[in-house]
Amino acid sequence: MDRIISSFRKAASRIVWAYSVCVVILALGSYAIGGNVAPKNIFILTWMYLCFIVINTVILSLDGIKSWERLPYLIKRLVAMPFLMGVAVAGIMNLGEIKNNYRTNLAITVVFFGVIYIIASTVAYVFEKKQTDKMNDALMAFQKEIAKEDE
Amino acid sequence: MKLFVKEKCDVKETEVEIRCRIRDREVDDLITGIKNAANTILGEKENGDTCQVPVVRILYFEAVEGRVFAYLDNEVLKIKNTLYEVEDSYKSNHFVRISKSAVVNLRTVTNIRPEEGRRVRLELKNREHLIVSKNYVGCLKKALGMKEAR
Repeated sequence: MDRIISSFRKAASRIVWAYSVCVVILALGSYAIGGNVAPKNIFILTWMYLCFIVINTVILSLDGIKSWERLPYLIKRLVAMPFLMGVAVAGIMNLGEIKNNYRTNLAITVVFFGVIYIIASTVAYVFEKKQTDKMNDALMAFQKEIAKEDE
Repeated sequence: MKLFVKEKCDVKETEVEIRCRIRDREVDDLITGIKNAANTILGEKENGDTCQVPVVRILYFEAVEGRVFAYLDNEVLKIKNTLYEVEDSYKSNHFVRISKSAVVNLRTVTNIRPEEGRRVRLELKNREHLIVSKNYVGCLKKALGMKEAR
Protein backbone atom coordinates (compact mmCIF):
# COMPACT_ATOMS: atom_id res chain seq x y z
CA MET A 1 0.00 0.00 0.00
CA ASP A 2 2.87 2.36 0.89
CA ARG A 3 4.40 1.69 -2.50
CA ILE A 4 1.14 2.59 -4.28
CA ILE A 5 0.78 5.81 -2.27
CA SER A 6 4.36 6.89 -2.99
CA SER A 7 3.91 5.93 -6.68
CA PHE A 8 0.73 8.02 -6.81
CA ARG A 9 2.56 11.01 -5.32
CA LYS A 10 5.38 10.69 -7.84
CA ALA A 11 2.98 10.23 -10.78
CA ALA A 12 0.80 13.15 -9.70
CA SER A 13 3.76 15.49 -9.23
CA ARG A 14 5.04 14.64 -12.72
CA ILE A 15 1.67 15.04 -14.45
CA VAL A 16 0.05 17.99 -12.68
CA TRP A 17 2.42 20.52 -14.27
CA ALA A 18 1.65 19.10 -17.75
CA TYR A 19 -2.08 19.40 -16.99
CA SER A 20 -1.65 23.04 -15.94
CA VAL A 21 0.30 23.85 -19.12
CA CYS A 22 -2.41 22.17 -21.25
CA VAL A 23 -5.19 24.16 -19.55
CA VAL A 24 -3.28 27.40 -20.18
CA ILE A 25 -2.69 26.47 -23.86
CA LEU A 26 -6.38 25.56 -24.24
CA ALA A 27 -7.43 28.87 -22.69
CA LEU A 28 -5.03 30.89 -24.87
CA GLY A 29 -6.16 28.99 -27.97
CA SER A 30 -9.82 29.66 -27.21
CA TYR A 31 -9.06 33.33 -26.50
CA ALA A 32 -7.15 33.62 -29.81
CA ILE A 33 -10.12 32.38 -31.82
CA GLY A 34 -12.42 34.66 -29.88
CA GLY A 35 -14.36 32.07 -27.91
CA ASN A 36 -14.58 30.77 -24.35
CA VAL A 37 -13.11 27.55 -23.03
CA ALA A 38 -15.84 24.92 -23.34
CA PRO A 39 -16.48 23.13 -20.00
CA LYS A 40 -16.62 19.89 -21.98
CA ASN A 41 -13.01 20.38 -23.11
CA ILE A 42 -11.82 21.00 -19.55
CA PHE A 43 -13.68 17.88 -18.48
CA ILE A 44 -12.01 15.81 -21.25
CA LEU A 45 -8.58 17.22 -20.36
CA THR A 46 -9.12 16.45 -16.68
CA TRP A 47 -10.25 12.92 -17.53
CA MET A 48 -7.16 12.39 -19.71
CA TYR A 49 -4.75 13.52 -17.02
CA LEU A 50 -6.50 11.53 -14.30
CA CYS A 51 -6.07 8.45 -16.53
CA PHE A 52 -2.38 9.33 -17.04
CA ILE A 53 -1.93 9.57 -13.27
CA VAL A 54 -3.56 6.16 -12.79
CA ILE A 55 -1.45 4.54 -15.55
CA ASN A 56 1.77 6.08 -14.23
CA THR A 57 0.91 5.06 -10.66
CA VAL A 58 0.50 1.45 -11.82
CA ILE A 59 3.76 1.57 -13.81
CA LEU A 60 5.70 3.09 -10.90
CA SER A 61 4.19 0.54 -8.50
CA LEU A 62 5.59 -2.27 -10.65
CA ASP A 63 9.10 -1.06 -9.78
CA GLY A 64 9.30 -3.26 -6.70
CA ILE A 65 8.71 -6.42 -8.76
CA LYS A 66 12.02 -8.07 -9.71
CA SER A 67 10.87 -9.45 -13.09
CA TRP A 68 9.63 -5.98 -14.12
CA GLU A 69 12.82 -4.33 -12.86
CA ARG A 70 14.89 -6.64 -15.07
CA LEU A 71 13.16 -5.44 -18.26
CA PRO A 72 15.21 -2.99 -20.34
CA TYR A 73 14.25 0.69 -20.32
CA LEU A 74 12.81 0.75 -23.86
CA ILE A 75 10.71 -2.40 -23.33
CA LYS A 76 9.13 -0.83 -20.25
CA ARG A 77 8.29 2.26 -22.29
CA LEU A 78 6.77 0.10 -25.03
CA VAL A 79 4.66 -1.83 -22.52
CA ALA A 80 3.24 1.47 -21.22
CA MET A 81 2.66 2.86 -24.75
CA PRO A 82 -0.72 1.25 -25.65
CA PHE A 83 -2.34 2.44 -22.41
CA LEU A 84 -1.04 5.99 -22.73
CA MET A 85 -1.88 5.97 -26.44
CA GLY A 86 -5.44 4.80 -25.81
CA VAL A 87 -6.13 7.69 -23.43
CA ALA A 88 -4.30 10.29 -25.52
CA VAL A 89 -5.98 9.31 -28.79
CA ALA A 90 -9.47 9.12 -27.22
CA GLY A 91 -8.91 12.53 -25.61
CA ILE A 92 -7.58 14.19 -28.77
CA MET A 93 -10.41 12.77 -30.91
CA ASN A 94 -12.98 14.17 -28.46
CA LEU A 95 -11.23 17.50 -27.99
CA GLY A 96 -11.02 17.99 -31.76
CA GLU A 97 -14.64 16.83 -32.20
CA ILE A 98 -13.56 14.77 -35.19
CA LYS A 99 -16.58 13.14 -36.78
CA ASN A 100 -15.79 13.23 -40.53
CA ASN A 101 -13.45 10.52 -41.83
CA TYR A 102 -13.35 9.16 -38.28
CA ARG A 103 -11.33 6.02 -39.09
CA THR A 104 -8.74 7.85 -41.21
CA ASN A 105 -8.28 10.54 -38.58
CA LEU A 106 -8.11 7.91 -35.83
CA ALA A 107 -5.38 6.05 -37.74
CA ILE A 108 -3.45 9.28 -38.35
CA THR A 109 -3.68 10.21 -34.65
CA VAL A 110 -2.54 6.73 -33.56
CA VAL A 111 0.43 6.76 -35.95
CA PHE A 112 1.31 10.35 -35.00
CA PHE A 113 1.19 9.59 -31.26
CA GLY A 114 3.12 6.32 -31.74
CA VAL A 115 5.89 7.97 -33.76
CA ILE A 116 6.22 10.91 -31.34
CA TYR A 117 6.23 8.56 -28.33
CA ILE A 118 8.87 6.23 -29.82
CA ILE A 119 11.09 9.13 -30.95
CA ALA A 120 10.82 10.85 -27.54
CA SER A 121 11.57 7.58 -25.71
CA THR A 122 14.55 6.83 -27.96
CA VAL A 123 15.99 10.33 -27.60
CA ALA A 124 15.59 10.14 -23.81
CA TYR A 125 17.23 6.68 -23.82
CA VAL A 126 20.17 7.81 -25.97
CA PHE A 127 20.74 10.81 -23.68
CA GLU A 128 20.59 8.65 -20.54
CA LYS A 129 22.79 5.99 -22.19
CA LYS A 130 25.51 8.58 -22.84
CA GLN A 131 25.47 9.42 -19.12
CA THR A 132 25.67 5.78 -18.05
CA ASP A 133 28.42 5.05 -20.61
CA LYS A 134 30.51 7.71 -18.88
CA MET A 135 29.64 6.12 -15.54
CA ASN A 136 30.69 2.69 -16.86
CA ASP A 137 34.04 4.12 -17.96
CA ALA A 138 34.48 5.67 -14.52
CA LEU A 139 33.50 2.36 -12.91
CA MET A 140 36.11 0.47 -14.97
CA ALA A 141 38.83 2.96 -14.01
CA PHE A 142 37.70 2.85 -10.38
CA GLN A 143 37.78 -0.95 -10.24
CA LYS A 144 41.22 -1.05 -11.85
CA GLU A 145 42.41 1.37 -9.17
CA ILE A 146 40.95 -0.86 -6.43
CA ALA A 147 42.61 -3.92 -7.96
CA LYS A 148 45.95 -2.09 -7.92
CA GLU A 149 45.37 -1.05 -4.29
CA ASP A 150 44.61 -4.67 -3.39
CA GLU A 151 47.82 -5.80 -5.10
CA MET B 1 57.51 -17.74 10.66
CA LYS B 2 58.37 -15.20 13.35
CA LEU B 3 55.82 -12.82 14.79
CA PHE B 4 56.77 -9.50 16.39
CA VAL B 5 54.37 -7.04 18.02
CA LYS B 6 55.75 -3.60 18.82
CA GLU B 7 53.76 -0.96 20.70
CA LYS B 8 54.47 2.64 19.70
CA CYS B 9 52.65 5.66 21.14
CA ASP B 10 53.18 7.86 18.07
CA VAL B 11 51.46 5.45 15.63
CA LYS B 12 48.01 6.76 14.71
CA GLU B 13 46.71 3.65 12.96
CA THR B 14 47.79 0.04 13.48
CA GLU B 15 50.33 -0.93 10.83
CA VAL B 16 51.31 -4.42 9.72
CA GLU B 17 54.49 -4.96 7.76
CA ILE B 18 55.34 -8.38 6.36
CA ARG B 19 59.00 -9.12 5.68
CA CYS B 20 59.57 -12.14 3.51
CA ARG B 21 62.17 -13.60 1.16
CA ILE B 22 59.57 -14.10 -1.62
CA ARG B 23 55.84 -13.47 -1.83
CA ASP B 24 54.50 -17.01 -1.86
CA ARG B 25 51.10 -18.58 -1.14
CA GLU B 26 51.70 -18.49 2.63
CA VAL B 27 52.33 -14.75 2.52
CA ASP B 28 49.25 -14.17 0.34
CA ASP B 29 47.13 -16.17 2.78
CA LEU B 30 48.53 -14.10 5.60
CA ILE B 31 47.64 -10.88 3.79
CA THR B 32 44.10 -12.14 3.12
CA GLY B 33 43.76 -13.21 6.75
CA ILE B 34 44.89 -9.83 8.09
CA LYS B 35 42.62 -7.96 5.66
CA ASN B 36 39.65 -10.13 6.55
CA ALA B 37 40.27 -9.80 10.29
CA ALA B 38 40.25 -6.03 9.99
CA ASN B 39 37.11 -5.84 7.89
CA THR B 40 34.52 -8.35 8.98
CA ILE B 41 30.92 -8.02 9.96
CA LEU B 42 28.89 -10.17 12.31
CA GLY B 43 25.65 -11.47 10.82
CA GLU B 44 22.87 -13.88 11.65
CA LYS B 45 21.94 -16.61 9.19
CA GLU B 46 18.35 -17.69 8.48
CA ASN B 47 18.73 -20.66 10.84
CA GLY B 48 19.82 -18.36 13.68
CA ASP B 49 23.54 -19.19 13.56
CA THR B 50 25.87 -16.22 13.78
CA CYS B 51 28.88 -15.90 11.53
CA GLN B 52 31.56 -13.39 10.69
CA VAL B 53 32.05 -12.53 7.02
CA PRO B 54 34.59 -10.30 5.29
CA VAL B 55 32.97 -7.05 4.21
CA VAL B 56 34.42 -7.42 0.69
CA ARG B 57 32.22 -10.50 0.17
CA ILE B 58 29.03 -8.50 0.73
CA LEU B 59 27.27 -7.38 -2.46
CA TYR B 60 24.91 -4.90 -0.83
CA PHE B 61 23.06 -4.02 2.35
CA GLU B 62 19.32 -3.48 2.32
CA ALA B 63 16.91 -2.22 4.95
CA VAL B 64 13.62 -4.12 4.94
CA GLU B 65 10.90 -3.24 7.46
CA GLY B 66 13.37 -1.71 9.90
CA ARG B 67 15.89 -4.55 9.71
CA VAL B 68 19.17 -4.48 7.82
CA PHE B 69 20.27 -7.44 5.72
CA ALA B 70 23.63 -8.12 4.08
CA TYR B 71 23.38 -9.91 0.73
CA LEU B 72 26.22 -12.23 -0.26
CA ASP B 73 26.57 -14.35 -3.39
CA ASN B 74 24.28 -17.10 -2.13
CA GLU B 75 23.19 -16.15 1.36
CA VAL B 76 21.52 -13.38 3.29
CA LEU B 77 22.58 -12.31 6.77
CA LYS B 78 20.64 -10.19 9.22
CA ILE B 79 22.92 -7.62 10.86
CA LYS B 80 22.50 -5.44 13.92
CA ASN B 81 23.85 -2.16 12.51
CA THR B 82 21.61 0.50 11.01
CA LEU B 83 22.00 1.47 7.36
CA TYR B 84 23.52 4.80 8.43
CA GLU B 85 26.15 2.98 10.50
CA VAL B 86 26.87 0.62 7.61
CA GLU B 87 27.21 3.55 5.20
CA ASP B 88 29.59 5.39 7.57
CA SER B 89 31.66 2.38 8.62
CA TYR B 90 32.25 0.93 5.18
CA LYS B 91 32.65 4.06 3.07
CA SER B 92 36.37 3.31 2.93
CA ASN B 93 35.56 -0.19 1.65
CA HIS B 94 33.87 1.36 -1.38
CA PHE B 95 30.28 1.01 -0.18
CA VAL B 96 27.97 3.75 -1.34
CA ARG B 97 24.33 4.64 -0.60
CA ILE B 98 22.13 4.22 -3.70
CA SER B 99 18.64 4.70 -2.23
CA LYS B 100 16.87 5.23 1.07
CA SER B 101 17.06 1.52 1.68
CA ALA B 102 20.26 0.23 0.04
CA VAL B 103 24.03 0.55 0.25
CA VAL B 104 26.01 -1.20 -2.49
CA ASN B 105 29.57 -2.52 -2.70
CA LEU B 106 31.06 -0.85 -5.79
CA ARG B 107 33.51 -3.73 -6.24
CA THR B 108 30.59 -5.99 -7.15
CA VAL B 109 28.99 -3.72 -9.77
CA THR B 110 29.58 -5.01 -13.29
CA ASN B 111 27.44 -2.68 -15.38
CA ILE B 112 25.44 0.55 -15.15
CA ARG B 113 22.39 1.09 -17.35
CA PRO B 114 19.84 3.87 -17.76
CA GLU B 115 16.48 3.55 -16.07
CA GLU B 116 13.27 5.55 -16.31
CA GLY B 117 12.92 8.79 -14.38
CA ARG B 118 16.63 9.80 -14.35
CA ARG B 119 17.50 6.76 -12.26
CA VAL B 120 20.16 4.21 -13.10
CA ARG B 121 20.25 0.46 -12.76
CA LEU B 122 23.26 -1.44 -11.42
CA GLU B 123 23.99 -4.98 -12.48
CA LEU B 124 25.91 -6.92 -9.85
CA LYS B 125 28.30 -9.80 -10.40
CA ASN B 126 25.62 -12.30 -9.28
CA ARG B 127 23.30 -10.95 -12.05
CA GLU B 128 21.07 -9.16 -9.56
CA HIS B 129 19.84 -5.66 -10.38
CA LEU B 130 19.59 -2.66 -8.08
CA ILE B 131 18.00 0.68 -8.88
CA VAL B 132 19.80 3.89 -7.91
CA SER B 133 17.27 6.58 -6.94
CA LYS B 134 17.67 9.83 -8.84
CA ASN B 135 18.57 11.64 -5.58
CA TYR B 136 21.53 9.29 -5.07
CA VAL B 137 22.90 9.25 -8.64
CA GLY B 138 25.13 12.21 -7.69
CA CYS B 139 26.55 10.25 -4.71
CA LEU B 140 27.31 7.31 -7.00
CA LYS B 141 29.05 9.59 -9.51
CA LYS B 142 31.07 11.16 -6.71
CA ALA B 143 32.05 7.72 -5.41
CA LEU B 144 33.21 6.80 -8.92
CA GLY B 145 35.29 9.97 -9.02
CA MET B 146 33.15 11.64 -11.67
CA LYS B 147 31.98 14.82 -10.00
CA GLU B 148 31.19 16.47 -6.71
CA ALA B 149 27.74 15.58 -5.36
CA ARG B 150 25.43 18.56 -5.09
